[in-house]
Amino acid sequence: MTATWAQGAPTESRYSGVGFEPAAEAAGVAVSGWARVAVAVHAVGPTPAPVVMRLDVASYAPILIDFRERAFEAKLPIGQYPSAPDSVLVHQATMAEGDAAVFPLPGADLDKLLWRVGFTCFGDAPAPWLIPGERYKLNRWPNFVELTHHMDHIRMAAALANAHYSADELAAAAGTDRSSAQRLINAFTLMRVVEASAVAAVPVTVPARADAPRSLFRRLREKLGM
Amino acid sequence: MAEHVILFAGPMGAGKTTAIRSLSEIEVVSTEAANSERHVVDKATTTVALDYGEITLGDDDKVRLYGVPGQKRFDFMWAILKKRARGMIMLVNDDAPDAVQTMIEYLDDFRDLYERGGVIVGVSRTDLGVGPGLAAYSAALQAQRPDLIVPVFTVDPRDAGQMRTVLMTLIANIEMRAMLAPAAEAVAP
Repeated sequence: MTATWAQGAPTESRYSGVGFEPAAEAAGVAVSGWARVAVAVHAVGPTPAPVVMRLDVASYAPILIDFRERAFEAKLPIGQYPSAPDSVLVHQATMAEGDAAVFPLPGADLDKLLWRVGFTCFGDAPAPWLIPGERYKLNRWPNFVELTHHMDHIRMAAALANAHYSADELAAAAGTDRSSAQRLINAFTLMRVVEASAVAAVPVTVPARADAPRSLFRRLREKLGM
Repeated sequence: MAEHVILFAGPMGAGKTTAIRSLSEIEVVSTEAANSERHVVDKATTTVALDYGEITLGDDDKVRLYGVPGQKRFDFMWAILKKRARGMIMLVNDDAPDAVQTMIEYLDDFRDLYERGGVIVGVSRTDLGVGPGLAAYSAALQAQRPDLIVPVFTVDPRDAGQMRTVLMTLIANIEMRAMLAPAAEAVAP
């Protein structure tokens, strides 16, 4: 398809010529709200991909995602969208080579949206695309400066940067709770900043907890009030 | 008293002095002189020996923050400091010429720290949209050492909150890597 808008045109007119269609529902996965978004985004696969997506959040302006650019556009800061919207409809379109962007680039880093969606939308349960028995290791640090974060998230990411972990193992290694570890793995797999392995070894020794009394991390965290 | 030395490295004008000011709880000691290379970076003064700031932890520990001069002719100072360093925050301007290659060249000079996971890269001025962007830095680092996942963050050195996130990520990575080192050795053939 060929987009018909010009630079400087209102955003709505920029995507009005795009043939959005409802995103396919994943077989056997009944989800709604942000979880529906997460499943649809995960189904797109690794980026960049020639796909754009429009998220119609009830009572809010649409959110646009351009997977070719790993970018999105929203009228409001993403934290101001409801955590449990009445409904979210997901539409997507496949773009041809040379098709223009559907919003002014560079847009916002897609990780910002996926971090918020992935961390919360499945609660404490594993995301439906996760396979029991797999362990995860970072392949790229998410840019925490741009993400709403807590020090536990950084500590868990540091663990994943250096070894493969399941959610239970990650919670133990980073000295946090299983719920946070599972949510982080849900988000990181949606952002595709971790790789999964079914054969990675169990850590041979249980590492000392990063919040042990002499940990510089812990003392700095207290000092800086983080 | 225990000390934890953190270096701030990077080319002239990358924001090392500013970053230390954002983190230090004392007035930063700077040894600046007139910039004789204004054709390279247009700023009036530049660090010729080092900058120093600190964060005190209780009665017995200090995090010492050293900014090393950006000009390579002062690299004898780096040799002195890197022996004591626990980690390094590498700062680069995204809009500088050859920014990715400059980062790689600096990391070569701090290879020991880099290879033991003691480096984080802070890229400033990405908002201008004229540089290669974060992904280019990560890709260059992974091409060199695929087994090392180096944090690469955007950063504004003037922003204390952002600099704290950078510092805490560096410390978390160093400590987690050290804790896992015995496990890695145990599974090695």
